[in-house]
Amino acid sequence: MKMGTTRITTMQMITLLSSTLIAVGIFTLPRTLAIEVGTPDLWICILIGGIFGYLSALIMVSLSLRFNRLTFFEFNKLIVGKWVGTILSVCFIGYALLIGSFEIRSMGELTQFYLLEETPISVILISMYWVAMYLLVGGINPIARLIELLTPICIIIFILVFALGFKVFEFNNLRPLLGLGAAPVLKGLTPTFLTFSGLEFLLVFIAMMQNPKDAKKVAFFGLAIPVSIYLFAVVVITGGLSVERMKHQKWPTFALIQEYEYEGILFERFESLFLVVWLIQMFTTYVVCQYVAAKGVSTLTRISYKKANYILLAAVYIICLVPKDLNELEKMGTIIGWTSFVFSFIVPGLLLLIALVRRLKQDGETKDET
Amino acid sequence: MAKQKMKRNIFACLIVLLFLSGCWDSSDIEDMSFVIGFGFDSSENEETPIKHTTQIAVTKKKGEQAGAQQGKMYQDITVEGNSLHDILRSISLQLPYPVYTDHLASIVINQETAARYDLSILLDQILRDNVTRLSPVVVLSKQQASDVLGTNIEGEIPSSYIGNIFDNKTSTMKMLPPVRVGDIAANLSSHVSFVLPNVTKEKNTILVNGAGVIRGKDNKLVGYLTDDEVQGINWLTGKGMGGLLNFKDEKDNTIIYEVQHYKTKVEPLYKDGRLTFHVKVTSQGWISEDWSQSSNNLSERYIQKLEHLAEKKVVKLMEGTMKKLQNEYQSDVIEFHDSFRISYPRDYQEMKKDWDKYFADADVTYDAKIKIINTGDMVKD
Repeated sequence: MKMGTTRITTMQMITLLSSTLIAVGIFTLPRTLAIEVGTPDLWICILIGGIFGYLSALIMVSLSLRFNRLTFFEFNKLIVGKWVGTILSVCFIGYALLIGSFEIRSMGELTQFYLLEETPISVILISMYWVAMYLLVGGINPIARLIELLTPICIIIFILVFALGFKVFEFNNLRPLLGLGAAPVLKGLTPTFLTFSGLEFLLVFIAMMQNPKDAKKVAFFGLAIPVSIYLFAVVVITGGLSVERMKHQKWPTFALIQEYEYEGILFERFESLFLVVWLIQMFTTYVVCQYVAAKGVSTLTRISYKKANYILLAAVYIICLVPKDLNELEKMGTIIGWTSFVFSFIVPGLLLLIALVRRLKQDGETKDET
Repeated sequence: MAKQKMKRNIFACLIVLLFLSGCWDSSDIEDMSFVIGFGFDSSENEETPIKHTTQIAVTKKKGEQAGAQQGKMYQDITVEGNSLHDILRSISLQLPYPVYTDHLASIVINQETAARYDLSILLDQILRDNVTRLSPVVVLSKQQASDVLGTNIEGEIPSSYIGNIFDNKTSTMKMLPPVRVGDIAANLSSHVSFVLPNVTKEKNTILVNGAGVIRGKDNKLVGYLTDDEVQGINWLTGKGMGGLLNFKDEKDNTIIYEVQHYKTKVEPLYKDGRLTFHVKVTSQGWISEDWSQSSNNLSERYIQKLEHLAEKKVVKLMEGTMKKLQNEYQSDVIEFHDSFRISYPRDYQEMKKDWDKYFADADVTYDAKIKIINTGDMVKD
């Protein structure tokens, strides 16, 4: 089953990156930030986190562009040799699987809590896996097309749902600005940066772009969209709930949406609408993660991409059931965050450095079919 | 051949349809009991300290639900127990349809119960629950909550009646803005004092009067505020939505000022360990009733005189409320901590814990500016 080309357009790449970044963070970030920062300056963290994210994306872009049409799994061997490269690739695959299972498990837990109380979580998970599998075996093109189609709708609904929260918005909750100085803001930077895990997949996807020259543009817009949504969400949630309340609410985002009711327009309550869109975002994040992992496996071994998908499906299912409760799941999230830091900052940084020192570069379309 | 293939496809589609229609969590709407009100009372029995009333909307046709009396639109079930969830589940022992709290409209808490128990414990289940929303209003009641919820109002369900009364917040200053469960959640967990509106049952109706002060230290009810003091609260917080101001001129004639718009600004000053608040109120409104026989309704001097009198009255209201809050209840329910937090974020970090104490010792000055922009359609001569 092959559809179209294996190249993706710039627009598809932007939507793919931004919908990978919008994931479970939209539920967990507000509380984590409120606890870490403790002042209404949370939104500054997201801005700074976004800038840092962009910087690391730039490193990845320049690294990827040095090796035209090669994915991370291929070019790391050229830089650090076969052995280290393979280890890096395996770690990267494991990491992609970890994010994928984390997202899908969080999705399952929240769906069970808010929507389908009686449905066993495995049923929720498996139905999600099946749909994802159907999409995944088609390769990158259908995935990119689907995401391109869904992301604008999701973004509009996200903005709508949060904009409606202005009904309970109180500006005083956002004041004072930097009341306790900049120290609290710094504390909030780590959780923010960790929310942007998924950025590393640029290392794989840039190789598939139709115009790799646009990669910088992709990094910018692909980050700008999720950063502005997170920023908007956090501002509205802080204004609507106050920092004090965000600390005590398990899922402040949901609390905010439950806070207001509108009479006279299509819906009175917006939880379901929000959950639907959010589920789509979780789904796309998962699909992208699994794609990266399968791609990696098929590059490293002789297993075909399709077969790799089926094998990894089992792996993801087992990994996602490892955390026994929500606390362990949250711990898993933190671990992912730190790994993400390694893969989006340290590894690309080092690789770029080595590549620069050794003057490694590969041009031309020699390896077209990746 | 093609025809046969199509037949097979259609058949496959039909089979698939069979599997698509199911939902694990489906429950038919006619098989559910929609809870619209909760009532909390305390009981004398030590084993079962909470007496909880659940108000369920009658959605069945007459005769179908045995518990409901003829013509009544609701059914009250009162159960005693030591945990809310336990009580809710024990309702299943007497009601065939599972209770569903998504449409909860109001929570009534008996005053004595609120004074005896920590509210964060009473409301814990509601705040934890995944189905209950954070939008139901919370009120205190003078009588037993079960009595209030049992008020026989023609064609109305008491708990939604209570919820709807608060829609009138635009027309009176004697009513606090509605307090929703979500609003008090943070106050309870961070031990900040707040006020809850109070309701009283009177024969065949329920009315909102006064308010109860919940002290942050122990989350318990410590005292009441009268209607006039609630007016003071509304002027102090600036959270009211408009209403009337009733004052008298020097000859003791009643004059009514209708507040169209008002704004309250609180400016804290913290110097050498001395805390001062300056409360600035500005308001615009109309004269809607004037019992004086004066003939100079339109003269500027007369208007200025009225404005001055109204200002005095507002300050008096605020002072009265403030005195009670500072001296008797020592609870900052008017969110002065918020303006202080904004102006002195660092000091507030240290004072947060004993804020109510600092609040009680603070000096407060008032300044009201009232503007009358219209005296109505009547010119006396």
